Amino acid sequence: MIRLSDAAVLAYTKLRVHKIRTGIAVVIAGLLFGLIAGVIIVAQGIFSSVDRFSEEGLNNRTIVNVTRSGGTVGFNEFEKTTDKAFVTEVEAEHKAIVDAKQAAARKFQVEYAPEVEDPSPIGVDPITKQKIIKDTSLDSQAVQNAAERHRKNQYSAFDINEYLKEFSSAKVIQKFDTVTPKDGQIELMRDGKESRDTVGSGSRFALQSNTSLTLSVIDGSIAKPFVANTDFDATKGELPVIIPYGQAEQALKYKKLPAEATMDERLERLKEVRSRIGEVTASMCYRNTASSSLLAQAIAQDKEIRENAQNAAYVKPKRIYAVPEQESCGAVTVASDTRTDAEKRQDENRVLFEKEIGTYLGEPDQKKVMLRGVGISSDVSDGSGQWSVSELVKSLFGSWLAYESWVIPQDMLEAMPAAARPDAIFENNDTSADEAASQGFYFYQAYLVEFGDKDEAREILKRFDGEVFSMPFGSSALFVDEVKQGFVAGLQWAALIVGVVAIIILGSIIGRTVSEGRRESAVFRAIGASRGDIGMIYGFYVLLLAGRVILFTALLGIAAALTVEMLFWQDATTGARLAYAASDTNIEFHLFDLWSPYLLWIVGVIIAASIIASIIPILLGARRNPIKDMRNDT
Amino acid sequence: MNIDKKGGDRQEAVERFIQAFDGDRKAAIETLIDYVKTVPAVVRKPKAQRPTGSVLLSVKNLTKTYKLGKQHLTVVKDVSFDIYEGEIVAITGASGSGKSTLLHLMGGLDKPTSGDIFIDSTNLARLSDRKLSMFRRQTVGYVFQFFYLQPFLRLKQNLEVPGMFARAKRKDRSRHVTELAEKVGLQDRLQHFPKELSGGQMQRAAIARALLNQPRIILADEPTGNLDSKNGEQIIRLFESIRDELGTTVVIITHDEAIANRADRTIRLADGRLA
Repeated sequence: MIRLSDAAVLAYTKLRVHKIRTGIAVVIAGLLFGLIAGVIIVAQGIFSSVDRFSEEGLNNRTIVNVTRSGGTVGFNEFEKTTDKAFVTEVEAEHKAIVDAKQAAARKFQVEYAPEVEDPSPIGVDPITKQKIIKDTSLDSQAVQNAAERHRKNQYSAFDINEYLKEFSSAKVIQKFDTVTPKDGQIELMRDGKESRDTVGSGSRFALQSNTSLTLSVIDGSIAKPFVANTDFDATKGELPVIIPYGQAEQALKYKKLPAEATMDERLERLKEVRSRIGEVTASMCYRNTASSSLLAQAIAQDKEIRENAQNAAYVKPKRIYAVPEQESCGAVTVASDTRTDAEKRQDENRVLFEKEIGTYLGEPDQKKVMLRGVGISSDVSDGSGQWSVSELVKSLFGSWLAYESWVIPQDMLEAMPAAARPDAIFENNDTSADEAASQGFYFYQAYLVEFGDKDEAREILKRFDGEVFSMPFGSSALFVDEVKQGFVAGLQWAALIVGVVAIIILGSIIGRTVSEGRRESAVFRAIGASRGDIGMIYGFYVLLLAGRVILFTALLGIAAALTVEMLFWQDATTGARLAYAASDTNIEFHLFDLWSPYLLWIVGVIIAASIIASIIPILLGARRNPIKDMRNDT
Repeated sequence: MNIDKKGGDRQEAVERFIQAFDGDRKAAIETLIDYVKTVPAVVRKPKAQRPTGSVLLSVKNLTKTYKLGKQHLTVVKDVSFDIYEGEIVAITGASGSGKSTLLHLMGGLDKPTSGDIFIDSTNLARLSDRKLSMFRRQTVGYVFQFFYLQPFLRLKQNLEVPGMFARAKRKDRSRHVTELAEKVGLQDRLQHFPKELSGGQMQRAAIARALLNQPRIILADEPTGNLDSKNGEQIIRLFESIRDELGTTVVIITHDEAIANRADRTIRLADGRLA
């Protein structure tokens, strides 16, 4: 058998014979494979960058939010207004309330007008003539009491560990709630001021918060990647909060960058906001229901007095409240009290009456709590509505904590001195049954669960039994994983299709080369070549051809990927730093990486396509009669 | 005898014949006869000087039939003869008489329909394809009418090709090629490509290529068919020197009677049979 080096020498001459034809085949096949190679290099660059950035955010963790919805365990009074049994129950409840209040009113000698304070929630349907619950009375005490009883009866405890028992890699990190005080509300004091808007009328005044604040407490390990202010002093009594980037930017009085801002400007802004996050402070005001109600009453009273300042016939209330300063979140105090002893006694009796019938709100309680920025989380969008690589990277690969929510790292909260910690806000000791009863139909119980096995996480995400559903939390780890798997599947299809096309193209050129080389093969046979020698020469020819395709593919793929890299890496870096809330502000997101096993895979496909394309022509060529080929030539 | 000089003499004789033909025709014809009488003395060796040796190749009752569609065409019919070591044998015949087929059968490129071809005690008709390849590599050197040199290989590499198939050592191959190039007068052309050579040079190169594996027999199919008379003469001289110096048997297929006459022996074929 001919030596490999000699076979290579003879094979090389075949490439030189058909330069144009070979060139066209190499270019076409190279273009097809080069495109795939370019995609692989870019994709590998993205995956490597994602891996690198994942160490910054949460993308190296697979966390799932498992939520039990109240949809099926709740009792929806809105759907029961014509339910005879429920109507009867509400009617009896109303009668019991009125009876109890009348008895208490008599006991404490207070005025009680049931038709005004507790009008009957029961009406008559004009068509069916059946008793119904009036739509306007759905929030009445009788209806709510009856509905809560049903909810408590229907409630069954949700055991998250039982739910997760078949997922061996699952570990519950925490119960995941927004911070809701047991009684009352918290409000972000916009520009350091408390809202003064009220709703309702008469005795039902209430404060309406214009700046509702969603706060969550999250496990320290989850929050850690987002923490930038490591100088936070827990002893000062300030609540540490991680703030969405856009709000942090606004709080630091930065003017929003225009859409046409350069990547350098965006990165510079990001660095500044991160470095200055510790300067961001905010205040929030906690008031329990009694405090809110009293403040609403004081505001309404103040308004009434001012509106009647010129009205000579207007008689001021005997007890006038002083409305606290908007910046103080302070208690409502009594400015003047000209009530008679009898009137004071009447008011005290009223309190005793409310305590007797269970409607007493308790003593007012309020507290101003300072918040201190300790980190930034990713905005869901920059709000520009414009497509950009930065936005794409953020939306595809970003880590997030909670949608536009402010997040308190649990470990930092616990590090605060007990005296400084605003326990009234956090000590919500309601049982799940109480919560279910009071929250009504839209009741949720959520848990953050970490999975060691991504397949198990994927499995639980697919599961929805109408009561419990799950969704990814904090990162796109699962999405990135899906993208990787999808990329590989897509790549396989693309390589298969391109491989078939390459087989046709290369088969055509190899077929013609073998066909046109019949005389030469016959001469070689005459001067001593065996069929194996001829096969080896053509085999080398095919490998040399494949080598050229590989070379062209590599050059084209690298050129294409480098172009993408040059055009988009800065934009992608900005997006990634925002998306991953990267603490390392020098880390870069590149779209170019040659170290992909799939590139070797493409080399294999090219060689395989070349070999497959050559088998038939070479076998047919080797079987030919050399005499015939020499005779045909002459 | 200088071949070029001889060619000049022939030219002169022909010119004298033409000039004299219109006048004294008898004298003109005598001039031509005088010239022709000189020729055999120059180009033909007396039988006594021919190399004599044992039988190298023996063809026995050889028949080759091709199937063309539904028809069968017998191109070689029951042919038998012997080829001796160290002789030049010309095979002549009209086109389609079966010369080339006979040559291919003798060279192991094709298999006979019936009959045998013995070389030593080996019957080529019974050899496998692999052994026939080996036979062609070791025993036969082919020379073609159209040279068939590789256009993209330098002359040196072209001459080495049979050595490549024989797995000859690169060093030996190279040395042998240099010797052969010198023998055929192409030692200065080894780094040239075939297109830079004349027809005669290409055929001399092809002969050198055929000699590389030191074959016992050279089979030449119309080796001068594509050359002018001057180069044709050079090729015949080369074959004679190969026979004389190396003792190699040469079988030449030719239409040219003059070349056939230069051979030690002529085998004539007519319609596939020995004439």
